[in-house]
Amino acid sequence: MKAAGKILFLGLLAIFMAAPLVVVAGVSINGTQRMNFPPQDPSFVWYGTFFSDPAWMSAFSLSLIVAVLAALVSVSIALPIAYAIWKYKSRLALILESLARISFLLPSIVLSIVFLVFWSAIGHVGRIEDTILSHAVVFVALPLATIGMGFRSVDMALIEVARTMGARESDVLRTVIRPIVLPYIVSGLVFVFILSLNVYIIAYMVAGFEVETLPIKVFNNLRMGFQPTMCVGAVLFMLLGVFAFSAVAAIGDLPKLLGGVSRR
Amino acid sequence: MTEPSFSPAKTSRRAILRGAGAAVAAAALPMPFIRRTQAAERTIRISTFGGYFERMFAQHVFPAFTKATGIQVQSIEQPEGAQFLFQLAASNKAGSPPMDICCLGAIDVLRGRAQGIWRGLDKTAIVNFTQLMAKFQEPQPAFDNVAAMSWYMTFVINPEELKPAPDSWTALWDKHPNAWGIMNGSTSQIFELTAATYFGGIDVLLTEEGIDRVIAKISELKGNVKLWWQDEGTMQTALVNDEVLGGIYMHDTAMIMVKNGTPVQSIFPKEGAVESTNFWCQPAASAKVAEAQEFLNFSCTPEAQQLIARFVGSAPVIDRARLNLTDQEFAAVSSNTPSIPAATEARYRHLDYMERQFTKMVTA
Amino acid sequence: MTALHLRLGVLLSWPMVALLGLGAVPFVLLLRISVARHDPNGIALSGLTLHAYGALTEPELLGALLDSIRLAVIVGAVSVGLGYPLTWAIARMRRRLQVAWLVFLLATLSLSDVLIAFSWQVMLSKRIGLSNLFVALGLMDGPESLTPSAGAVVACLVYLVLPFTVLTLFPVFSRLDLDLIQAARTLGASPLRAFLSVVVPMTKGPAMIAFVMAMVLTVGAYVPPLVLGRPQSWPMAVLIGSTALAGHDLPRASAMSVFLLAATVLLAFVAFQATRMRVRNS
Repeated sequence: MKAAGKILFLGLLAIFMAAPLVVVAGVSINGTQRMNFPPQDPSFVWYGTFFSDPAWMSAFSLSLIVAVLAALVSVSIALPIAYAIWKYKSRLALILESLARISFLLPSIVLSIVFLVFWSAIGHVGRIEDTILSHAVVFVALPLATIGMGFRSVDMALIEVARTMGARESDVLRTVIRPIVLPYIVSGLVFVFILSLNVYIIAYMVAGFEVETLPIKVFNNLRMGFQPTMCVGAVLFMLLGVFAFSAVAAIGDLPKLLGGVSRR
Repeated sequence: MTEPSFSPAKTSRRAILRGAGAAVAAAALPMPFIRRTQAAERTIRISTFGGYFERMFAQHVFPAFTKATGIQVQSIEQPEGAQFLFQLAASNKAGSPPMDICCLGAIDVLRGRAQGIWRGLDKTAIVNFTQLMAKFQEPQPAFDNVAAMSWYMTFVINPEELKPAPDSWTALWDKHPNAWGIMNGSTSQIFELTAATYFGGIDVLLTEEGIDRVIAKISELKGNVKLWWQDEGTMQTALVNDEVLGGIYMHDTAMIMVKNGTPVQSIFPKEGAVESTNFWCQPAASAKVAEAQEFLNFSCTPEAQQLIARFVGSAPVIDRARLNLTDQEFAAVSSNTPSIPAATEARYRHLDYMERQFTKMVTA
Repeated sequence: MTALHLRLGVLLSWPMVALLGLGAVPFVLLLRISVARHDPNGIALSGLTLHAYGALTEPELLGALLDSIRLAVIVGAVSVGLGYPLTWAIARMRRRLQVAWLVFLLATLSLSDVLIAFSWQVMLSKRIGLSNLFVALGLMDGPESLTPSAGAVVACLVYLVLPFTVLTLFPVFSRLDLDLIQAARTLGASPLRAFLSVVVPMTKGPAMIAFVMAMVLTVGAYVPPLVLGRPQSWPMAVLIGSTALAGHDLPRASAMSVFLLAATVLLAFVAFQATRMRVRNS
């Protein structure tokens, strides 16, 4: 009875979470120009259009470039802070951590207006660096959380032992700390990468003109209504998301990386 | 002027190079790197509204221009929204605008003029300017724009659900609860059509009291509105899925929907549809003065306007008499019914007030 | 000590520049614009006036703020209400199923909120949406569109927020020592008693954090309420967007934003105080 209830609950939730994905994927294989669901004349024609259109492909690749660079920059900000908190319990680092958390939780519409004004005020407008930096700062709370977890999972006894055996700080860093924290750094990178792909409004406001990422291109295409080609991009992002997180799960221990304990 | 030969293959290769180059260049270097190709070529960057618009310009209008003048066009998608002008102003001030010619609605022309973004144009160099309709040649405080094309907001309905088809905007106020999709916000043409239908014209919108009166009239149809749409895609989805009986929508998009099999009918009511016009402007910091003049000149020719009407789906800004469009082609984009002009001046002066009061009315 | 400070300074120099530059400075800018003169043509950062804050006295705006708060509380409650048992179940799953669920939830983060909102429009539409299922089940007479409606907005926002809720709750549920529950049962406690005295105290903290985070994310939502909701219940974020983007009134939008941020902080504070939980660096 309880088991049946649990299965029903999980099943309904799974359908709930999967439904929009099914809709988006279904529309992308629509044979006609319209956003029909269920798809009429299923065909992959829009995938062909997407991959052969240099404008869509350049928007797609730009999204990827921005996402990768934003992830790297974001981790470059998070790592020193997490290290400073763990090793030195630095108050400054804790303040920066709070600042990072606040940035993440601010309404994105407010943030994007503010960023627009900011970049205009310093006269550095419409450039790809603006988008990358803006994304990196907004999402930095996530790698901060995961890398912080990574540092906290380091068993102090290991470090004690290493020191007793004569290891220098740099050795300890390299041989003890780095292997333990590295998977958490990777999962932090993946989080920022995935979120940066789909969040459009910041990029739109900051550099929507010269740097046309995929979500922005989707919006620019709204003049003539939604089109199935938009959903092709969405499906590709979805597949990327599944692939990225599956890779993390395959290489690392996903439950552990998310802060849980590993169950084997 | 010698005319280098341009083969289609070369143009498409350029398009692919552009696409690939954009991805690489944008990541590392400033934009001009892409165009550092053959030095002898004349080029110009022209931006239009994104998606279908830009694609049609790139595929039909710009090649004709290149064929006529030898100037290569780099077609750029323009984002819609307030930040476009903000960013353009900043990059123009920095001396490197992202395009040489852009396409704008009337109010952005005024805003840009107030910020000194536009280059003053030389009327003597754009001889075909005189071919435009009289209303587009009216003198303005500055000659910094050339009419490009018009578009109409019409009464779009689902003809199978709404019989008989209405012929007047007043039908919006008739008893049709929860039926319409109306564009939301201060830029919505509901202002113009209400002013023209009940207040004798758009001049009533020039004062705040007048705006209040028009908004009071609009609020009378609130119960009939199911969807206050913000973007065209939402309204299109609603029409396709039979969520609304009809409402205000773009005539050109409605015609494309018909072509793609959705049963809608776009009606030009007897009071007239609301006509908005887009204009070409050149940022002051753009260096391509001669090329821009040639393009603007080209845009005012019957050839260009026919291409715009046939492929972009917008209404031409030249008298029909000078064009070779068939009745069907003309009806697809325009109409002879006198149109309601856009309330540009009113919006320029009172946009924030209109937005505030409209939002209050809608959210009450 | 000075050597340590120097080290810290060097270590944290780049994060400081980035976070202060793009985190603190923009916020200061927001305050600055909110007291600037309204320039309909562009971003003018001149003048000093409290005119924009006059907006806060308008009843419609206060109504929108209340709508924001109400929506935030509902979405927070529903997402934690669903996420709590969901995370409990996931944490107890066999490894492969657990990883599958986690990857699935995380992958949904890669979809833009615009496309999710569009999907919900489709799923709630008259012609092919959920109502047809209800008709088949006999719950409704005829198919009709379920959007725009408050329910549609809540459903869409819960969808967007749920993965974050699960991520927040996962660590504590994963570490829950089942032995403790077993011990309580052995000592004669009923399952409910065991649950209340063992599980609830341990998970109360993260559950509250998840609730507050869901509320904050909801307050910031722009696209779903705009597309799926009725204008009468548009929350502040939507009005801020329309004031800035359509009305070109940056000072007013900034004043509204400051107001919204202050209300959000207050909301989080009240939520924590209500259960006497302190924000912990967990």
